Amino acid sequence: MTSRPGIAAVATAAVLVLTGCGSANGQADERDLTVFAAASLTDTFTELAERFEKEHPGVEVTTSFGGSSDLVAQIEDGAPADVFASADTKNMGKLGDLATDPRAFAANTLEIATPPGNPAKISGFQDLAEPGTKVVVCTVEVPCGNATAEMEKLTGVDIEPVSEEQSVSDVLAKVTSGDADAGLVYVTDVTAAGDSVTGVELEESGRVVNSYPISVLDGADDAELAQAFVDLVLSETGQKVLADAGFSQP
Amino acid sequence: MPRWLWFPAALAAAFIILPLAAIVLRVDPATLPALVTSPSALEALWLSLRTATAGTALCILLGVPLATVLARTSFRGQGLIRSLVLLPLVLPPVVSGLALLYTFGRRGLLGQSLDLVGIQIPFTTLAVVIAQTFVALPFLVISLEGALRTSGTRYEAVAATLGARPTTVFRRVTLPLVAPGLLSGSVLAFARCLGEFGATITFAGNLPGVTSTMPLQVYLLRVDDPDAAVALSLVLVVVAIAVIGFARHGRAL
Amino acid sequence: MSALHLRAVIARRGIDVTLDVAAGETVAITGPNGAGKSSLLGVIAGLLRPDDGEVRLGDRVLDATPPHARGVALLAQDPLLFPHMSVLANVAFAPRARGVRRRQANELALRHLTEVGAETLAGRRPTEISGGQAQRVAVARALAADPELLLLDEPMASLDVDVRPALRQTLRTALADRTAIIVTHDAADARALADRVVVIEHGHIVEDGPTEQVLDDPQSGFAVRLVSGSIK
Repeated sequence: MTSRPGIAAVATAAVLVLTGCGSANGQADERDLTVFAAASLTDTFTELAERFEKEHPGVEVTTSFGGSSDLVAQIEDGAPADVFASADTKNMGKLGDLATDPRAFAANTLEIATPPGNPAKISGFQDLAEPGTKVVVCTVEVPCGNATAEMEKLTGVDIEPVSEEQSVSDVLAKVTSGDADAGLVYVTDVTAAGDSVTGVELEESGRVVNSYPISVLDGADDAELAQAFVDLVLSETGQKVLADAGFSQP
Repeated sequence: MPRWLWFPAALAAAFIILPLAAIVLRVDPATLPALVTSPSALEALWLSLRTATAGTALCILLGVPLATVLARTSFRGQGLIRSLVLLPLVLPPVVSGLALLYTFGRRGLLGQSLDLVGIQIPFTTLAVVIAQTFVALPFLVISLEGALRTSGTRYEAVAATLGARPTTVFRRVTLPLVAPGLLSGSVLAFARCLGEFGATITFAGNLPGVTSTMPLQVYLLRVDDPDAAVALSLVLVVVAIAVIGFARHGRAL
Repeated sequence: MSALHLRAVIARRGIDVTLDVAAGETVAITGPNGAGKSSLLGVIAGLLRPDDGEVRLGDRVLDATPPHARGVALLAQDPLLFPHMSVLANVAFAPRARGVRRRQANELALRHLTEVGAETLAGRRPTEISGGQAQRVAVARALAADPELLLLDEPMASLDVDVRPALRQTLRTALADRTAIIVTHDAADARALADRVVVIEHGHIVEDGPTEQVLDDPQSGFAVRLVSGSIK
């Protein structure tokens, strides 16, 4: 009989550990803010979250980065997010009324990433259609793939990729390993990747612009605090951080 | 057995069965036939079946000799080799994919030389087969080695004293005696090939008809077209159930 | 039929034996359990490597010859019929292995099955016949290998007492003109089958003589007990 309380204790402990229910959030003046943001915002939003915590003592910002469509699916399934920043308007649109007031805060354009030194001598979008060139793109279901498809339509260049990846980071992985000659990603991804890739700018980049919207979500625990984070992103400080990372103005 | 074990046991069974039931319940019977027979679904299914069959064949071709050597000989470092061979069983598939990329990739250990003679493996259907073989091989080796050890060497010794050469003994005595083990090992390997995701997406990429197998399709569709993803998942669940049933039956033979 | 010359040293087991068997002669080896009798058969068949020694069959030195090329067939205590083959296929195994065509091999197998009185079992599976029947089939299978030397390791030990005489009779016919070694703990086996009896104790030959002589006037401790029937 003594084992039963023992088992119960183990089970309770496991649940507590798994749900993160510690004693830490027992203090009254501590507040949590959960921000869901597109994977391409990883660096900038991590920095902005730190700034926000500094400006708002006692606030802890939890960030979760992923493909915009993944995040939308999680939010629809009830993930406890207060703010959502999407890599395109299409995914933000899927949230409908869940997004209280979407505002564009940045824009991103496509750029070609090649292995360091650009061994295949890619000079522009046209080159990606060359037979024998191994090009990796995002699949059309995700924003960067959608942008790629649009660019192909506008320029009449028909790329035959060797792989349609699920995210920008998968595309970059294939490029940095040298197995692909080129990959189509965002300007900011090339910037963030540093020396591990060589970027090739697109003359046509301005023709397909991805607008990044951000919104407080319906059901945010603390709508005021959430709005304060959105305001930071839209502020001069926020815009500078984004511009440094290669984002353009919305 | 204490009676209270029934409760956690039932919980454990429900833990496995409930999610499977959930995916079945999520299926819309009205749209299912259309979703499962859509050209893209059929393309993925056909690719999956082809690659899993090729992967299993490769597993048998490579795994039978390996299992035999491990079961019938002893040499220095054999224990180490056995552990290493079983590694893909417990390795995260993504890591397996990376390892394959650094081996067969354009700048990989072997890939560099292969590239010089014009063979490029990443992004091809062959890459899918290699990824599947890599993760499934241990299943075959482990079940076959077990079967070989259980069957012992007495029949082989008799066959040898009857004048049969080692190759004849292997073909006519050793292999038939472990046929049930070989069969269930192959079936498990086939199932593992069919379900392979992580190593494939890391090493082979994702292109419809070339490298986009069923699991990759499910992953891709799960957000934008959950109904299609669920329908394809159901197909995989049904195949998995058939495989398990077959493997259990084979063992009972 | 060929004569056998054996010298085997297995240091770990304390075995050091030199034994000659004339062509056509049947020798019974007996001795306490663990004396090294089965090990000697293993050395002759090529399944066990001695530390030192020599195996010569006729004019061939077999030390470097693999088991399948020795012309030595081994019949063990268990019949060890291949479970995945029919009785006929079991007996046809050796002829098939040396390249005889299937039809001829089957005919040959049937002849050997008839020889041991088991021809009616040809179509059965090994799991469908009794222990005594299986051992008969095993005898036929060993004979079908047409061995120069036949080794029998307690072939009747696992059989019921009431089926032993029949198999003994079968073996008597089969071993008549063959060079053979039979390991046995049964004086009746030795008397019925062997021309000579060799007693091994602690890895060494302690008595060696014509069957009649050893059984009628045993010298070694084990032989005395064997004849007095205190060993079963």
